[in-house]
Amino acid sequence: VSRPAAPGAALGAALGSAVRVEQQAVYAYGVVAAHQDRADRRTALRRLAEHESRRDGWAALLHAMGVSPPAGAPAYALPFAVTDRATAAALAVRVESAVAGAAWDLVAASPPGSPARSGAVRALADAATWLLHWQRAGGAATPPVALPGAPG
Amino acid sequence: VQEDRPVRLTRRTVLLLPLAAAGCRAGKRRRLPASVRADRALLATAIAAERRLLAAYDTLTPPDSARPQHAAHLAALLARWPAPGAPPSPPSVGAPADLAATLRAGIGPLSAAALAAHDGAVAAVLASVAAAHAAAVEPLP
Repeated sequence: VSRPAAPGAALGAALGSAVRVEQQAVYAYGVVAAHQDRADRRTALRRLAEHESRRDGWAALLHAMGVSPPAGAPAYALPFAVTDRATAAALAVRVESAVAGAAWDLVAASPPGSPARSGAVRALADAATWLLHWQRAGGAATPPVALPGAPG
Repeated sequence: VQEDRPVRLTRRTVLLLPLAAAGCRAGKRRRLPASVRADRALLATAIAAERRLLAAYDTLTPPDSARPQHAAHLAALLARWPAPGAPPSPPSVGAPADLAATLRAGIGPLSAAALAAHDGAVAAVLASVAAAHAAAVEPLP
């Protein structure tokens, strides 16, 4: 008989996932930035720094729970070849979708009013805004995502 | 040692059983937990706001209509409404004239509702709707 996970375990798992997604986002944004012109490179590097900050923030919350955050990898496999600005924008869309998903899970797993819930609500809003930015930068004709981060 | 004895149903107990069951249901309705009542209030506000937005899209018919997105928001919020009953209908007020300003004004309350919601699934939907509204009208953070 399986028991439902304790609230602390669910929060720890969601925070661990959020750290892993942010680690991948930091790596991916290095690739995205490398395929931009000067102005857009600055924009991409700004977002890279935000992902670093958020990764460290989630890791600090895990430490406070007495849990070691997952270690990052030196490199990650990209889901497709990034060769120009369009494919770089598509990668950024993929990254922000994953970040939004992790934030959704963290909102759901965290107690009301907690630092984790508050940070996750902000992270979800930021990811949705950047997701739309990169959709437009890539010239995508798809409409904005109705429910950013929602599973399925 | 318990003795197996057949339960005797008299005419009176049979007649009173449905009344007792109805009383239990009514009692349960009254005893809706405070956390659920609080989440219902948060959802009711968000649902009313989305309904007003949809009414505004129907009135103003902007060329780049985000109506399907807001219809999806309303459906997701309604799906999280805890039984029993349905959310109250919003009072009939005029549709907002400035959609962007209305969306922008709703981001803070939706985010606050997401922070306060007791049910994690309710909180996630509220946060996602707030995020979608922010993406539609806010510049890059």
